[in-house]
Amino acid sequence: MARRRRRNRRVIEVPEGEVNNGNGAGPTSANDTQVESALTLSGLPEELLLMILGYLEHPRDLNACQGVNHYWKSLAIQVGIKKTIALWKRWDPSETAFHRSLARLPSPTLKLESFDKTDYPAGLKTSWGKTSPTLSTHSLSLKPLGRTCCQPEILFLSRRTEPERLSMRNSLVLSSFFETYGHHLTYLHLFDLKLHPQQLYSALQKMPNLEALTLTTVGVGTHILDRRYTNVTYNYSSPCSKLTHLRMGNRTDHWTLQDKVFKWFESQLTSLEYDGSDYTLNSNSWVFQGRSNNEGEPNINYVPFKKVERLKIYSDWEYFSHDNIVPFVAVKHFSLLLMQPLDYQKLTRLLKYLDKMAGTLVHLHLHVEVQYQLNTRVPLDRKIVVFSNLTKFAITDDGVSGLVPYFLKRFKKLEKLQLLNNFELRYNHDNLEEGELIQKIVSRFEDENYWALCGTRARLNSIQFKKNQFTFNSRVELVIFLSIQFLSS
Amino acid sequence: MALVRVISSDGAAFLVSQRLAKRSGKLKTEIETFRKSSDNSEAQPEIRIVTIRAEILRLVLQWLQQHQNDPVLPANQNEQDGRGDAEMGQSQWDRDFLAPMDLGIVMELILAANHLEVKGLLDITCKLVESKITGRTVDEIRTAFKLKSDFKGNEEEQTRLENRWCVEN
Repeated sequence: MARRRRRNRRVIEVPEGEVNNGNGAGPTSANDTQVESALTLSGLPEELLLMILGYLEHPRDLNACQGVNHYWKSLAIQVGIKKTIALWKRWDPSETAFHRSLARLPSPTLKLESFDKTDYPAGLKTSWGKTSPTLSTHSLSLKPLGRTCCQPEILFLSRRTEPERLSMRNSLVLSSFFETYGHHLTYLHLFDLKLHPQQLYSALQKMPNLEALTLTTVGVGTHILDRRYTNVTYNYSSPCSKLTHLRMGNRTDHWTLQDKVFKWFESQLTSLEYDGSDYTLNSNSWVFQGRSNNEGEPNINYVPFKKVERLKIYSDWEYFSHDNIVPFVAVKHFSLLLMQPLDYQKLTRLLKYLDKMAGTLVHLHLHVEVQYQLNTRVPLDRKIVVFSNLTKFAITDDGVSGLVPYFLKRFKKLEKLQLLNNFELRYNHDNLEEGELIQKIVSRFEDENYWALCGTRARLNSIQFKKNQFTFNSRVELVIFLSIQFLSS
Repeated sequence: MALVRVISSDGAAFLVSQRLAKRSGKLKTEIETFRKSSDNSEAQPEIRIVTIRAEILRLVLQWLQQHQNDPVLPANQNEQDGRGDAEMGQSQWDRDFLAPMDLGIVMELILAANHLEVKGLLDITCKLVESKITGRTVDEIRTAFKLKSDFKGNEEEQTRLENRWCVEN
């Protein structure tokens, strides 16, 4: 017995960098060693099957997997949901909610479906008993949405070109669709629609699995005055408990929709994007203002978005015109894009507001402009509030870079600093050697007391800085994005 | 050179450098555990992998050897959308390595790479299986992977109809 065990124990002496193929010429394949296996795909655990299906890019393939058997159907649906939500979780702080919404419109490879064709979900077709329920109205279209996935979990609803509000008939179509199909949805994008909040509430109640919602250019229309809705008492409890990601695009009616949607979901959201760029709708109020108590004083106990970790706000300066802005007590990633330049007062408000997030912020992205160079007027001697967790910081360089010393005193753990604006460097490429070009770029920054270490390629899109006039922590990496325009001779 | 003895489920022992072995998350942990528990710092660790047979272990070690100078990929990179990073790291050598293998061996390699925490190998093997699904019909997938349908009645047709509205022509 012992002898047999010794025979089986093949000990291969392996010097470093060599395992078993003595000839060292290319890989030893399974065939070379006559390896065979009867293992099938069914032998893999679920986590590995999910990983394999996760590589499928085309919805056609995921749909094919759904047709294999019940187990594969459940796997393919899981992958579809994961891909959908992954699109949400990718953090690109410089994107505005509005542009991001548009970027999610169906890619050309996807077939656009609409209710006036027959390829709508079978259940809806059956419930209406007609082949083309909206043939006469043409006012509602359903489109699959998403870069890599157009599973039924993703739905893009849009009014088409007709300017009229949704008719009652279409509301019924919508309602019928959600009734039949709502439980499939994990991501819903409403675009260019007119809805009453009560309609939206009812629709969302039929989507128990909804995790992400985008509203872009959603208004209430004239039927806000309809008698059917005037006496509705709103229920502020959440209509769908799984929803954690909300993107409020611009031109979405503030008074009757935004306010209510925020109240429905304020206690459960983890990711919030707000595009308030259409300030004409919101100029008289601000959705993130705190509440007042009976005496008219701010209610400091009102903490509505206590779970929001990713926050993106694209707005005008009105955001900081109120003292009573609700705090985001758990926010880790904050991106602020302000449309109008800040003056000294507004900048001070901004800095004070940021101090309130000092305990939780990990990534801060400030896309702001100032009206003039603030280098000398920034209140650098303000009390230093240490941002104990912040490791990434991005800020527009134009003018605002004068604030960097202010921030560096506070960001003790900073690892990455990005300056965001594009430099206009125009050189005649044909007459300029690569080394000269780099030298010119370097000298440009030397003028500003930077010391740059450039790459070797002329077509630079980034320059790594090792140090500049600021005292950096040794771990700090400073990246500046450059846009270099070459002139042809 | 510090060595470690890695023993497969069927008793074959592979003597490899610790530097190479540490490319595997599992082996690295085992080596460190051995070091902490051993009084003799010169002692050679011996790690028994009871779930991987010799031929498969040999292939894993061979892949590790080829990629011993690659940067180590973070374990959870790109995990949000449920896939790995095969596109990033697949070389011609990898393609030659995998090309002659039958599916059963690839499955065992996936299990081994997962058990030994070799992310790069796991990614390329999963991607290989995915490539055998892409573009195939339901019946072709069933045939390729020896899968049986358990749909009853018109369930399969219902599934097809449910998805028809979002599939291009």
